[in-house]
Amino acid sequence: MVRSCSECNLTWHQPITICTRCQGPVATSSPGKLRVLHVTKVEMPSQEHQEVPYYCLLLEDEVGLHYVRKSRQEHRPGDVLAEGDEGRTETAVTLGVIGTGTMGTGIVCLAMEAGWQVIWKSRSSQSLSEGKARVRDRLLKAMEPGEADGVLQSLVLATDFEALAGAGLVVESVVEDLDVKRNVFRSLDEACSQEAILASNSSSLSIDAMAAVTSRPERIVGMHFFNPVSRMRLVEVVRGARTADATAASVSDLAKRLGKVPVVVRDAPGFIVNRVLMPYLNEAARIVQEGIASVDDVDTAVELGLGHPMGPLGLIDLIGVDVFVNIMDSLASRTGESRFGAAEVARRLVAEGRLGRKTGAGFHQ
Amino acid sequence: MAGDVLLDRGAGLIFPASYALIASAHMKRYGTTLDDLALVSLKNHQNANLNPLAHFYHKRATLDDIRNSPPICSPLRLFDCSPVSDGAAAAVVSAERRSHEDVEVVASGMATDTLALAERADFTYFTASRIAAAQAYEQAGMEPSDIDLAEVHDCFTIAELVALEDLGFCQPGDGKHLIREGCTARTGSIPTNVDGGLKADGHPIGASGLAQVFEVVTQLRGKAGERQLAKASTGLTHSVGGIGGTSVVHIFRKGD
Repeated sequence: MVRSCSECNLTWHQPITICTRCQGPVATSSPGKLRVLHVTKVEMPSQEHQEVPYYCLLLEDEVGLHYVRKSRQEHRPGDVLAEGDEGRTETAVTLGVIGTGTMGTGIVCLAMEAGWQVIWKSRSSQSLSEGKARVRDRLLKAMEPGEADGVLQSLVLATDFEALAGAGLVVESVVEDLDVKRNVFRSLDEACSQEAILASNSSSLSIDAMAAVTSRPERIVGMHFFNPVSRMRLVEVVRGARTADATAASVSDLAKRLGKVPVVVRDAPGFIVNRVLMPYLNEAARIVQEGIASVDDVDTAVELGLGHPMGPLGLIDLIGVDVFVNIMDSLASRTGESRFGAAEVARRLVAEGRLGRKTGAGFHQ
Repeated sequence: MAGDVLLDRGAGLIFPASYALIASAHMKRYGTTLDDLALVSLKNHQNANLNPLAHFYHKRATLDDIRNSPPICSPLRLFDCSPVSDGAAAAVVSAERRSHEDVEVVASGMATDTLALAERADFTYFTASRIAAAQAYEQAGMEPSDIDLAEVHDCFTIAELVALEDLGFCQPGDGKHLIREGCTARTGSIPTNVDGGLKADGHPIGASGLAQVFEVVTQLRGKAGERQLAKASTGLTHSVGGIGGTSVVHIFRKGD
């Protein structure tokens, strides 16, 4: 469908409800037949369009208005796209997001920037409206206020699960507590359509344990984004024991459409990144604990000797010492392996309330 | 803002894709060919080989290199695209004449257009460039035939041909004849991008416009060394932003 401003005639293919130029009322109409004027085959991936080749079509409708559309199918100049021939271009995605924390907000921003419809669910309408303000601030870095408000028209805020009935993919990003997440999955399973894929952004909990409470374990998957979502390009696609091939493939494809690089990993404690990262951080804490080197010297050594942008103890402070200890405990209890036991020095810091940057002190002052 | 987020960028219209659509439109209407674009690239690379400050000073590009370079956005190939370069340029501007080397800025034209390509009626020229050029010629009291050299915004090879047409050095669609007949070569009637242009001198985004001014001033002062043109009394610079959303044209004259 095409939307056009009744006052200034600006047109969109995006779901806009007020004019992004003059704030005038927007009417929806069918573009009728679209004729392909020119085509370019794009073979160069970009931040927002990683998957190549694709085609950019310059189209003209029956009244002479022009449109640019992206298509995965090859078209030739002179081709006519029939009315409603949306299947030949990328279909729009309706994404549900649960949770208004850092990660939930980051995922919402990402989807809005990709032009997706988003339904954002939280228990608190206040945290939703605060979240929406943060999303708007982010959009304003890339566009004018009128344009940002236009994009925000495709964001729906909701406090009940029923609002997610139309979502094709839902990503939950609530607190890392298995009981809480299982309750969320139970509710999602009831509220969402049978075709919907339900994903967890969990960094440490078992996908299988969440899938077990639903009637669709084949459509349950992990979709683990990294903080900050806007800049970190990785998504770990986590396959539970019963996750279908098609589910993992769809989620990988959707991650690519959000400009991310998916990697597929089996449901195992820590997946890839935390399984590599956490023992490394723990070892750095042990070096301090054993009096082998000072906090500053450990960080300096790793920064200069390994070329890391930040040393391990500085990174624990950034993540939160308490979060670090929780993840280590989770790795230890799920694997039953003592090598994942958190360094005592980290536990002491937590007991003293030195949780890292958020409390002003952790390993570093 | 370099591109329209909602209308263009969301549809995958990265910069080379925009110019690829412009190239397709130009080829279809005027019969411009891929080899015309290759000749623009070849000329600018050869010019850069005479410019020690150019990004590609040391690089020899042959017509075969250009023709066989990998596709980026059809019909544009790698050698139709300017590189992203590091670089800086500066100009000292004064109301007062200080030395016999001073170069006079005789005209500044600037115009804008819609940022989104899809909102334009025609894709074979830039309205903003035509308006900015008309303003500049009027201020200077000159015609295109009065200009000795031009530095134009060849972010892609097709952009050089479109610029030559928009600046009135030929009729719309005749840019191909200028390049085929060598008119834009160093020895031609309107030497264009004698520093190598954005294509081969380089495109350090924010500095490219002033780099053009540097070249014109250097030529008008007669200090361009090996690449000095025989006749350089007036020069023109043409800089574009946002796929023709903004266009700026300056005309310079040698001090007496």
